[in-house]
Amino acid sequence: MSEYVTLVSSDNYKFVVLKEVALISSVLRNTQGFEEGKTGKINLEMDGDILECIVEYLYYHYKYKDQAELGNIPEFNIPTHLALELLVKADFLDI
Amino acid sequence: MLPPGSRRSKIRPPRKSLVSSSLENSSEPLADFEKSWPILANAITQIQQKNVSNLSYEQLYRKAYVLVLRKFGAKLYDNVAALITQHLLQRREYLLSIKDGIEEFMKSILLEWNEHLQAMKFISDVLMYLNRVYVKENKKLLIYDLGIQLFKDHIIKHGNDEVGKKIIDIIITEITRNRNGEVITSNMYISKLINMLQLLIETSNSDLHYGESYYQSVFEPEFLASSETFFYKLSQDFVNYTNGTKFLHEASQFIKDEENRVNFYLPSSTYPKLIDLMNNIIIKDKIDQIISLPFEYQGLSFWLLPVIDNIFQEENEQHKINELKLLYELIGRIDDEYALLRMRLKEIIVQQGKRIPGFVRNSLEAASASTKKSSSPASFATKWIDTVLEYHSQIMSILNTSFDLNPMVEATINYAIRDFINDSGTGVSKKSSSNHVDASEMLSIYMDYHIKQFSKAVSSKDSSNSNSPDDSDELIAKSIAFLRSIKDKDSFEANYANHFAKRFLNAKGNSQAVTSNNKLGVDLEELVLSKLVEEMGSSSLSKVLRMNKDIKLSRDMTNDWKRYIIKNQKTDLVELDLKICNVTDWPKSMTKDYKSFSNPTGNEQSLIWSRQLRPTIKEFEEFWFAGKKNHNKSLFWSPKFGSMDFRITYPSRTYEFNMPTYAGLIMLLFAPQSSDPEVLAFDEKRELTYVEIQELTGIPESDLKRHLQSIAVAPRLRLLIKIPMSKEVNSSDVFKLNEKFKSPSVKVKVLTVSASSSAPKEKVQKTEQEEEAEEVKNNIQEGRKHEVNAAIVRIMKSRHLLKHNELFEELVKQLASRFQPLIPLIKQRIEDLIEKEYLKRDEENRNIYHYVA
Repeated sequence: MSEYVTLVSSDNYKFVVLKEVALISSVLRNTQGFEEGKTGKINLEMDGDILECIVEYLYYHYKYKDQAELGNIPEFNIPTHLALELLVKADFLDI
Repeated sequence: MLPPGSRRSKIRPPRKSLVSSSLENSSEPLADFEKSWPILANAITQIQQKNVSNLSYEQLYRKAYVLVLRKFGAKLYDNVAALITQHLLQRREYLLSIKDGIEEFMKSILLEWNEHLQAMKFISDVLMYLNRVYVKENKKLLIYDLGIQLFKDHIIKHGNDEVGKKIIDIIITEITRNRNGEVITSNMYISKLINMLQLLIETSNSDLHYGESYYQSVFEPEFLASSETFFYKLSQDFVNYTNGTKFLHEASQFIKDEENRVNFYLPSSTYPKLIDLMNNIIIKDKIDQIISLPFEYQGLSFWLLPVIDNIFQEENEQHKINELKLLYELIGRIDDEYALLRMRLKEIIVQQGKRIPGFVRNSLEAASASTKKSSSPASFATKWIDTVLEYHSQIMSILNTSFDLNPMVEATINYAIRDFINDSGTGVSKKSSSNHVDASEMLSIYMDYHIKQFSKAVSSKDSSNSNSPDDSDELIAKSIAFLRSIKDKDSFEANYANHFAKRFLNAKGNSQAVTSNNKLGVDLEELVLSKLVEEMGSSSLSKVLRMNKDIKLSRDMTNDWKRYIIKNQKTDLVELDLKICNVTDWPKSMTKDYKSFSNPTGNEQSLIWSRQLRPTIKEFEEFWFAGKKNHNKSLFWSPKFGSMDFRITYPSRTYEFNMPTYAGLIMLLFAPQSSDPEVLAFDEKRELTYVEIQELTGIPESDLKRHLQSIAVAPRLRLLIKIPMSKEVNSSDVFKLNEKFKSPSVKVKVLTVSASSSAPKEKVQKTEQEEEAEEVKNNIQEGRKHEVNAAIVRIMKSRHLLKHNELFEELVKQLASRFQPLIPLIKQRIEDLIEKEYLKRDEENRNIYHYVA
């Protein structure tokens, strides 16, 4: 099994993400039992800039998940114009 | 989006406003559902057919997501449930059509179950958004749980539990087969099916209340019921063996197997229920029946038989360690106090214990038959006590090997042994029951016998007595151990005092005994006495202690007297070994007639000391009354006790004799009368008639006859010739010295004829012994009266006012260490004290006593 999965945005941007990172989202995790698990490619109904922001967040989460209790975590900056859209997609992906 | 770690408090997106803007072609909501549902329904069917990998999760998830956002959650939920139900009903038909035997059926059910769970997992994944939003808000079952619920309702329980019952039947049948010893191959299926049944939890969809699992509500009761029936039948089978040993083995084995079985198949919650059920039916209901099986059916009496057999039989039988251990373990399962075992054990020990005297008697008779020696009371006592002690140690070894050294069982054993030791057969006349044994008397005889043996051993082999200290320690340890089991300690004291006195008075010269005992390091008597004091307290042994003091004083006096003689050069006097006893402290049976020898009452003649002894007696009396310590004491001589040593020169040889005082006095009559040392007694050919002897000595008739018999009739010790020769001593008989006396050794000890050697004497003797026993018994009774009185006064003095029953209880408690007071005795004592005005009855309530100060 590959260590990476490819996330594809609706405008066909591809993000190759470490599987471990992608699976933080339970939706993305659930895909693995289905066709997406076989192809290693997950098509997502969202724009590339949104998906980019989500991938950034996933890595951010991945990086700091063990330090949550320690505080000292830099803030994750969200571009203001994407905020609302991101909120909806995050709910969709259950992040 | 928030930093990781605080995901719980997520901000929800504003749904309504966004739904329209973010989702495409959303003109007609219902049409949207009609379009999406078939896709989802198809996907679900695909999942159920294991075609998951051809489905795009993202698409399906998004469809469900959209439906939920569009408020079709309830509809989606219901449709999914209906779809799954439909699928399950189909599968059920398939399962019921399987006819390939139970194992195939079990396998299929499990397969169905696992596939269903797997499918539900995927379906639940697809419908995750439904779970997260709709289910949560409406407090419905999660999709996965819904799947389990549907499985239960539509496969297991559908059609009046058809499949469920089938499963239960199969499992119970299989387990029953296994219980019957068959090897079954469906073990894995059974435990997995049971697992499944446990997961099928009864829920009502309305309030999310989780109830019992199908296992708990249906399977367990049915399983327990069938187990109960099985256990009943099985235990009945076990009992029908009417063989206790077989029961123990089979039951233990079955229980062990069943425990493994239950552990393997059933959840831990059922374990205690089933084990309880099993213990109750197989052990509790049956075990007493088994224990009490008569000997030939191998109950407890059979398992304990080797204990007593080992003592009296040559070959060493193995203890039934295993059986007893199994029994102990079985009973331990139902009662951690082992009440039943203890009760039955006690019964049997008491039963066995009561048989011991009979066994002892038989074995002694057998021994005496083979060795031609008569058995004496002492040999019975020693054998009995040794046997009881041996019995005790055998039982203790069983306690160790089979009863886990359980202290409760040990206590019971000790009680039981105490019981039979002290069983004095109340109610039954003591002499009529041949098996009655007076433990306190026996112990006293036992100790008497052994102490005598020790002194004998010590004086006979002076140098080689290295093992004596150990032996004496053992004797003491054994005696003390036995003493602890005796309830009537006062009776033991009285008996011990009696024997103690006799040992001292009959000992041949205590100075000699002292020196020889010194080789032991300690005087054995002293040692035993000190141990007894340790055990019983000095107050209860005060009499014996005072006697012991007399003995010491007697030794000192003897030494003083010897020094006096040497100083005053009175070497012509007879050597004296003094035993001076204070009349009040020594047993009455010995001292009662101490005055009669000096001050004859009535027609009785007083004793006439031989002229050879008179100067010594006179000299000593003067010495005695001159002593400062003795100024207000009187001195009486008791010829009944003590012995004489003298030498007789026969033509052939000179012998040294030791004989009782009376016999000595008789013999002195035949000593040479003239002062000329050349004249031998044999030359004088003196002949004396019975009457003459009686007149010359003044010995009481019964004693005279007895001693004449000892020295003139006893076969090997005929110092005198009796004419005519016969066993009886008559007043017309004539006696003369026996010139032809012969003995293999130079030292000759003349023993007084024992009771059994001649018939008429036996009667005399026996009454004498009886008198003595009576005496001892009276002493005990008398002593008890005082002790009860003292105890009552003690109690009342501190309490002032007591009810009869309370006083009674308190008395029994206080006196328990000494003896067991009988009710009439206590009542009589209370009356006595009321009469003496120590107590008075309450005027209103006759049951209350007051202490009168």
